[in-house]
Amino acid sequence: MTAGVSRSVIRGPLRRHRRADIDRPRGPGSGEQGICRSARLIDGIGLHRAHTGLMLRQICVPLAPRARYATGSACPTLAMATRKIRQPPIAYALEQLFIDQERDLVHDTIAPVLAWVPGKGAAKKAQPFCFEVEQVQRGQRSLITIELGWSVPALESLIPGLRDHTRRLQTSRSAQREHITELAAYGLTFVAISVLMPGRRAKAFRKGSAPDILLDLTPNALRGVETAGRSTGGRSALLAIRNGTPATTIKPKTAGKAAALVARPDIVEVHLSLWSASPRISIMEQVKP
Amino acid sequence: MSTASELYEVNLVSSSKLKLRATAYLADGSEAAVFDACVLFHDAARLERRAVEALTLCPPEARLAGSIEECWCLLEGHDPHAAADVWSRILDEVASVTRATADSMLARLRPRYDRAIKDFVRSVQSRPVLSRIGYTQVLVPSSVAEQKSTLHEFQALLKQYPGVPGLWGGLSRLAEVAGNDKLAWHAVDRAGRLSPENAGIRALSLQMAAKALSPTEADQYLSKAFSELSSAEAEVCLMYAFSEIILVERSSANRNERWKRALTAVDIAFPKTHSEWMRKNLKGVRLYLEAAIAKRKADPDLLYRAGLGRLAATSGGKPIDALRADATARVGAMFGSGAAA
Repeated sequence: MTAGVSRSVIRGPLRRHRRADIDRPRGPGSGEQGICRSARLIDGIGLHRAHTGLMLRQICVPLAPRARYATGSACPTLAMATRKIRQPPIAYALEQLFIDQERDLVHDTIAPVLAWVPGKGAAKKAQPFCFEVEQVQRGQRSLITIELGWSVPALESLIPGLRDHTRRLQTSRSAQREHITELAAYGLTFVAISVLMPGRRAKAFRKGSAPDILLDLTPNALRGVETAGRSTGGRSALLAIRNGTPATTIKPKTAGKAAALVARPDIVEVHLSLWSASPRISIMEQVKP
Repeated sequence: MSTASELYEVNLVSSSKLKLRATAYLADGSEAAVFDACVLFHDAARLERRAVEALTLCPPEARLAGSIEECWCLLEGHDPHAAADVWSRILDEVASVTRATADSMLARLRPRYDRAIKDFVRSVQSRPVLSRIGYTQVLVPSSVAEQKSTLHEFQALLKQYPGVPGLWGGLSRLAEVAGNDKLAWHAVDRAGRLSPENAGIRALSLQMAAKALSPTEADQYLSKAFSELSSAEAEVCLMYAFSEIILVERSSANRNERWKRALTAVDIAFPKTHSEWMRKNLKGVRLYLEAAIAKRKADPDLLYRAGLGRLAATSGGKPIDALRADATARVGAMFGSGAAA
């Protein structure tokens, strides 16, 4: 799965699918870095096609990371994770959460996930909803596509009135968007915990201080996952949450979540789980230890 | 037998479920859903406190984290008043951890708290009637016009802060004085849901139930309260007795049973009372009930015999009404200053 890929191999399928997404090579000696983003995009396409039987995934493996990861100082853990491994896609049915996690905790996040993830455009509403998850764990970076799907009748048998509730969240004037995003990010984090940290279960929630989701409640030895969601903005918006943003003329400086979590002496293990609905991108990073 | 750490975890897990459900209500955004969210956040805040109290040897960081969560829950529950009480505790607890730890733990709460308090103060100060209550501690003004404007100000402030139980309690008193028993019941019921541990609110809710609900509904409400009188505060017992008397005035059916239950409540209240006014008031109610049960006419000097000469000298009408008005005003004052913000 880690073999190199020649540009000629990549160009063939791309020309037919998403040519506009190709980055051109950036000068002599940067061929692999220049096409890295393309490889990632192709890889994504390959995964979808593999899902439909074309198995492009087998020839589209990641090359080198982008140059700014190798040298970027704003993103130390991500920068250290120089090797990016493409993992096979994982299909996950939302109703499975009722088995993988505590039912009472999952219950209230389902309608917001259903309302938030598909977005507003009709073209985006086809299942599965594929999230490109960038997982960073112990210096190793990997890309995983989580293909999220659900059966509304199956979910409604677990949560009566779900369909109406979802419609209300999508259309009601009184609905509070920031809370829908917040709950949807919790729900997606449950999915990520179930998929990427198999066997681990969320035990409790916190709102006043990090981390949001606690996996272990032992005082002064907390283990958990800090969560955030953004409706738009993609990776740059998620990195702004992780690293913070400098002050501008209209906005004050914001502190990054990663540094704040590392500074907490009462936390022994913590992960960041950041989600963007459009484009569907996520960062799942073990920040500590 | 649960260990301390098990109790700690049980409380935190229960609180987590409530917080999630409350956030879902906030997402819904309707007035009723937001109020339900406030109730759940208040419940969650109490559980956070219980969790920390369950740990006999609680590390300072865990204690601080518990208070931070409690404060956040109250802010989310639109109750900056109660959040401010917890904030003062947080400032004490911060002294037990390092500066860096405190700063990182408070990074989320501090800006949110500062903003919430600033908004709350601005909202109250922009309403002169409410500022006047804060200064004079008089909730119900003497003039009808002022009563009306005060009631409207309370309603306006409650749209922004539906989680402050004192505001609901104040609205209930004002509505009762204005003769709007339905609104008074609705408001005191909401105050009680937010703050079930507040004896003053529970006491007044009994009286409002007797006045505003149908006799059948009121009976159901009172019979539950009667079964809990042994563990209730003196003012709850006293207001229970008045509630039974109000129901007798509304309907003469079962009046002997009602008077006897009222007398039982008075007997339960006596050893619990610590204030002179309540002891005298209870004595007056007892004299009234003993006469009623014996089918005698109430003594016209009942108030004097109970030691309430001043009340007798200043009130006209029936002695039992004077006793009830006096008790209602005093119990109402238990949260009146809270309503004043």
